[in-house]
Amino acid sequence: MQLPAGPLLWGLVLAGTLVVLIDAALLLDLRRAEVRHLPRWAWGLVIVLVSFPIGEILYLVVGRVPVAERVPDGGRDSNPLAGAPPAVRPTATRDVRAMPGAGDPVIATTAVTKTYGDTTALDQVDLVVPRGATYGLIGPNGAGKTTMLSILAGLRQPTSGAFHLGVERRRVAVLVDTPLFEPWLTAREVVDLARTLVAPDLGGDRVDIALREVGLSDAAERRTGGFSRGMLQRLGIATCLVGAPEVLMLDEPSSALDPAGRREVLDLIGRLAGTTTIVLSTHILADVQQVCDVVGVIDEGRLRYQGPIEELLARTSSRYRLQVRGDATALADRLGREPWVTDVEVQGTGRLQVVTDDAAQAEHGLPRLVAEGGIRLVSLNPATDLETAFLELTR
Amino acid sequence: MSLWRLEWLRMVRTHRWLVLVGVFLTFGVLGPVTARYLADIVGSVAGDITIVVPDPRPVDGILQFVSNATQVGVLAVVVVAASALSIDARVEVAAFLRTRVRHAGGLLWPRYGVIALTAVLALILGTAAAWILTSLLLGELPAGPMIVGTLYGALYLCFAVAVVAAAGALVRSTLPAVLLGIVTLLSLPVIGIIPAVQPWLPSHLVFAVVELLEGEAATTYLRAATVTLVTIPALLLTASWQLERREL
Repeated sequence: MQLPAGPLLWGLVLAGTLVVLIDAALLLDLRRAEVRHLPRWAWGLVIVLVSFPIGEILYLVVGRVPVAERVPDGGRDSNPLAGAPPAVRPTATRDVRAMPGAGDPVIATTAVTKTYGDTTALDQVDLVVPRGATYGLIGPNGAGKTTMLSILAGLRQPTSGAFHLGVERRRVAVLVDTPLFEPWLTAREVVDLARTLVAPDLGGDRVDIALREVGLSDAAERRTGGFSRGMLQRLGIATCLVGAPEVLMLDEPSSALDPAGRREVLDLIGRLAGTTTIVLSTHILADVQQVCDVVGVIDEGRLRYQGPIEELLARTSSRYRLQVRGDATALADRLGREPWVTDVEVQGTGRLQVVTDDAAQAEHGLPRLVAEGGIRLVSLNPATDLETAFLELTR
Repeated sequence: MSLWRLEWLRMVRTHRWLVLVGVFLTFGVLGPVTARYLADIVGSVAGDITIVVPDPRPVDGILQFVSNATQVGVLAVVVVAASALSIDARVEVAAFLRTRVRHAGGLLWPRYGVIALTAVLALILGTAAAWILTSLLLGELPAGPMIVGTLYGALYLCFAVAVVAAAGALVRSTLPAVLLGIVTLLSLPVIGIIPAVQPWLPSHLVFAVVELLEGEAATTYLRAATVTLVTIPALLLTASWQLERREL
């Protein structure tokens, strides 16, 4: 056999080196990337054994999950609520099974875990949604809320764990965070399609009712291709309502709406409360505080708290705002010596903020100390809100 | 509004039917005309060079049509099919539908049915145009081989759409589905180089109408037709299964 020589030999060596380098790069990529259709080792074999460049192209096009498709919740972003990376805390979960309506929970997950490659989107989450509750699933962007909702909606499978749905799947309506429909369908056709698919036995007049409910009656015959994000969001809600669902899962339902639209959505949720179990995923805590009775705080894939919203507020460091006549510095000094006061801040003439770890003592002690000091009290208000509670849990 | 009506509206309102019918009808008209006037066309551009073109036979009109239809026509079918059968290409739209059907695979059947039906109708219209013009320009064609051959061609188109359905379930986006579909369809004639395999391949049906007109027996294509008839549901079931297990 005659070996090739000269430029041909160098050409072959160069081509061979190139193939080896490309394969090595792809094998390195394979270790980190998320793959589909075949196990990781099988894609390794495809890269190495299938003729160049078919194996490599197959891996890149078919096997490798593009970055854009991974962990759809995205990473932690500029959300001011996200704050600094939180320290790991044990889950502070009240037994919501003891809550009214929770004897037969409509949704219950058991140690649900979801991983994307090396990323854990959900970590051993035990979610319990009592029947008839309005459950607020809150957390910073990237916390795992959308992944949780996707699993509950049947769009994704948990890597491990299980979940129980206490109603028929078709009685569950889901609204994704950025709803989109075929642009060549009219609003009426979209809602009617939803009705036909989930509740064909309900009359066609349900379509008009649902459109009227979200304020889209005038746009019923318009094609959705020309709709604004807010209109699409309303239309999405109409597609949920038309089937008279038992469970309504809403992912950031008011994120694209103007203040009036947001108010309408919250009013709508309020009207449905009691008759429909609602799971509301959002990072707008004010919305949750207004409409939800149960809350689940999720962060970095872990359920940090689950239970009644009042209980979450009660267990959070309590803050009180005092307004007194005249200078409040002396009162601040006096309060600073009390063992139940963890922090006192003078916020202006006659205004104080007191942080305490014992709300009961504080509510007795604050008026007493004001009276003992001969100071005229103008107002005394609790300053703890869901945002404070949330930040304490996630920081 | 049912899923079947949804797919019908997709075909009509996005004018995809026009693409399919337009392509097949255009070649149905051009094929016989080109065959009839090939000598004149070649003569007008040849200049001083003498090129001898044999007198056109009636079958040449259909041959011209089928040659073009199997390239551009099938490509058009693949593109149109991929655009509808990439069910998860737009996640938000897919989520709306997937959360409202019992099985994600249920979304596949109406899409496949409407596209395959439209493609077959486009083929029939193109073939009818080619048949009529060939009869007018080149001479009569026997009805039997034309009808049987067209049915074989229609079966191949149904197969092509099923291949795209499987590709659309395997990859998420439309372009990879188009590429995978084309590569798969192109690979069949390459495999057909092996004489023992060729009669069994769906691609054997493509030129059946021409070969039947030239005297080939209709039974020659029974093996390929049988394989195709078995492969189509197998591809669709695979696509359906893949859609069921794919996460959004």
